[in-house]
Amino acid sequence: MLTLTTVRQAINTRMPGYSFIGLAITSTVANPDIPTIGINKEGVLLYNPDFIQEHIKDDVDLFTVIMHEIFHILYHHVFYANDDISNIAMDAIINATLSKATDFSEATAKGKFFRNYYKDFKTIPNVLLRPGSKMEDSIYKQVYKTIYECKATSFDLINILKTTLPAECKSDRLLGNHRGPQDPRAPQDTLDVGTIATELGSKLQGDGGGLFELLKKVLEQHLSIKQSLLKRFADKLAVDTFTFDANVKRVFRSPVPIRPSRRDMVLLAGGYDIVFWNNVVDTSARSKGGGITVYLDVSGSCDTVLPKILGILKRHRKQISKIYTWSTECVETDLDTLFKGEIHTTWGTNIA
Amino acid sequence: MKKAIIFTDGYFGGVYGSENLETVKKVDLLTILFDLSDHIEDTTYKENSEIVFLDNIVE
Repeated sequence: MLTLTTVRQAINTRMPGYSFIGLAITSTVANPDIPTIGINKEGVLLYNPDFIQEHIKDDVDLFTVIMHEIFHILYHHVFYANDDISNIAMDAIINATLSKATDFSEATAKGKFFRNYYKDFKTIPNVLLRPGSKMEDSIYKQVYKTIYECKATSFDLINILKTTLPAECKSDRLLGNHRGPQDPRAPQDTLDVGTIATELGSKLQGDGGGLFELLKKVLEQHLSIKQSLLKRFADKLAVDTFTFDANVKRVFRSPVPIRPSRRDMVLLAGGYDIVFWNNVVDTSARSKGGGITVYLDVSGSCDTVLPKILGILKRHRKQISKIYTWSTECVETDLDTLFKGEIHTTWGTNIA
Repeated sequence: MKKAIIFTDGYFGGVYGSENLETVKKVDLLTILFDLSDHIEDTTYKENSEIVFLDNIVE
């Protein structure tokens, strides 16, 4: 019997730092119609009691299968094609992350569940789904190494496997429900493509602040939460250090007013006689001819992040002297033009 | 030393070639990567540029 308390306790016990993930699961329902275990858009964990009885030996195994399902959501796997090879690739990526990535490796006892669940399989594709497979003589040795060194993304692996595996290749031992709602064996109301990630994501964000986004970054960077937070701090510090110019003179003094500061104007209004005026220096980089030159990649893959970049440019616009956009050609532009959304791009990235 | 910020997804392709190896040593470089995958493989470039991730510097 798998209860909500059991599920949350398994997450709490194995990874206290990630216990907020348990919020993604709202209830548990036994359903003998599904082959293994799955999660639906309401966060209901559906499980086959026979599968739990046969394969879940301890809290490590339970934690592993729960996290496997949640990772499909975190990795946005619902947006990929629902074909056999894609499903194998997506499961392999998750199993590798849970077995090898920092933090998760210890919690899953280095993928103990996957080693046991796929132990009787010696051939492709099932050997890709467990850590510790002996692949020395296999043509998939390099692919396997890339997966279990956590260097491949789901997108990369789907493409690799689609070009290397036979088209009819499939695994009948995948975790979860990969068949989709059109399959008569699929339980109703399961895997509503596209809405699961959005709804679970908003649920986690609502209850856990920015933890959902933080977790995604942790997984993408293969760092622990502490390392990820430190990296974020270090990156911000690097940008501040780079853009800060300690040698810029903010004021200069003169016996005659040239560009009086606000302090001088207040003193003057108060009836004070000013002998030496504190003049404000125009620190904008444009007027000095110095400052920072910005090269902005506007090739096709970058259009979605341009709003964030424009926000950063706006923050540092005083330090920016020149700005170039480049894709297959490099073009000088100015900030005002960029802020209007006028971006010249030829979409590629080959300027040789 | 001149300062330059490069915003990119890391796929320099033909933009950054061997002819630029000396240039990067003479410029104070900050590279801001769009995504969390570090696609820059050239060690000379990596040694001469501070590399940060865009997502880490925006709120």
